[in-house]
Amino acid sequence: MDSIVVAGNDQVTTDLDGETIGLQMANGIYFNLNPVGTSVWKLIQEPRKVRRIYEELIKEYTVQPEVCERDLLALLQQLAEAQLVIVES
Amino acid sequence: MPKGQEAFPSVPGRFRRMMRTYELHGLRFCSELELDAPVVPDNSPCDWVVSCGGLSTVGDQPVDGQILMERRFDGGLGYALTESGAFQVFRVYSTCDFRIFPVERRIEVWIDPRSNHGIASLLLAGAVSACLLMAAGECVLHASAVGRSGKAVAFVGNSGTGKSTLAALCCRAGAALITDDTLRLRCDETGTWCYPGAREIRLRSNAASLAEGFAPEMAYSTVDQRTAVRIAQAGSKFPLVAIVIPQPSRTAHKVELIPLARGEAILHLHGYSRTAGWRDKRVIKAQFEVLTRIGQRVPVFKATIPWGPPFSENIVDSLFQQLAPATSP
Repeated sequence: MDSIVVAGNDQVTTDLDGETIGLQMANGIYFNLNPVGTSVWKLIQEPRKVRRIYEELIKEYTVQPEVCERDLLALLQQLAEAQLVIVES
Repeated sequence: MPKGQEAFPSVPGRFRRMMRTYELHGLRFCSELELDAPVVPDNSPCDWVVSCGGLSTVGDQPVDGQILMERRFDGGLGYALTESGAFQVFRVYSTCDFRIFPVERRIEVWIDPRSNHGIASLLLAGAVSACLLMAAGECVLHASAVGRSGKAVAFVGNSGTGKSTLAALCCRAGAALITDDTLRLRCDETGTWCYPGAREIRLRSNAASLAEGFAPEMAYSTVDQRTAVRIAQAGSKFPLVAIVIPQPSRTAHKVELIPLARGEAILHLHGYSRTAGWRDKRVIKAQFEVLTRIGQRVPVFKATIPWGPPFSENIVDSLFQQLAPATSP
C-alpha cells in the first residue's frame, strides 16, 4: 500500500460516458475501464501512493474497506501487467 | 535498369502503357495499371500516379529500412510497409512491391514473375489503398457495405467471416453495393460517411453459388480463385447507420442481433482495421481517435446469421427489420 503508482506515457485514452477506453501503443493492448477504474485512472495521472488512492475510493464510494483494498490491488496488478502503469516500491 | 528486371512491355495481362484516371475510395489514381473502378475524365486532378515498373523477384521479408507496418499470416504470407530512403515500399510477400514516392505522389508497381500479374490491381484497390489512407489518418475498415433506402450498413470482420456473402445476399435482394472488403469512412459534423470502393463482390468457393442469383454476365472468376459478381455500384457517399459483425452459424435458425455497448463496440472496431500491424505511433494514435469517434456515433451489432448454402430467403429482410430501430431517423 506504500508503493507509488503512476500511469505510463505511451498510451492514448478517451472518456466515454464515465468509462475510459485506451490503447497502450507500445504493445497494442486495448483496455476498457469501468467508472471505478476510471476514477483510479484519473488519480494516477500523477504519482500517488496506493494508500492514497484507496483513501480516495473509500471517500467516493460505498464499499467495505477490505473489498476496496482487494479490488484496487487487483486492478493495479492488471494495469501493471499490461504495462499501463509504473509501480515504484 | 538493374540486371534481372525487365521493362513493363514484357508484362502481359492488365498492364498497359495507357494512363486512365480511376476513382476508388475517394482517391483518384491516374494509372497504367487497369483498375476495377469507375473511370473519370483524364483531366481530373489526381491523387496518385501509378506506373508499371516491371518484373522483379519479391522476397518474403520486408525490404531494408524502417518498418512502419507488418503483418504475417500462416504459410509465409503477409505484407509490410517499410520506409527506405526517399520512398516507401509496400511489399506483399513473394507477390508484389509497390514503391511509394510520397512527395511526388507516385507509385511504381513491381511484380514477382511467379505471381499472377492481375493480382497487382486487386492489391492496389484493397490493401495498398487502405495503407495510403490509413497513413494519412483516415479510417479504413475490413468491411463490405451496402446501401438501402439511401443509408449504408457495413459488415465488418476478419477474412472468411461472411462479409462478402452478406453483401451479396443484400444486393441480390435489391440493395446497392457500396464496397466489398475495403471500406473507407469519414466522420464530419453531418455524420459518418462511406466512400464507394470495389464494384464487385468476391465470393469464396463455399458461397460461390450465390452468384447464380445474379445475371450470368455479371459473374466471373478472379485471379485469386474466387467467384466475383460485378454489381451496379452506388456512385456517391452513403451515410453509415449501422455496423454489423456477422457471426455465421450452422445451427441457428434465425437472425439475431445483439447491440454492443459503446465501449465494447469501440474495442471490437479496433480489431477490424483494413491493414494491421502498424508500428508508426502517429498512425496508431490517429486510428484510435477516428475509430473511437465512429464507435461513439454508429451503433454496432453482433449478428448471428443462419449460414448456408443454402441461405434462407428471409435473412436480409430479418436483418434490416431488426436494424430498423437503430437506423431510423
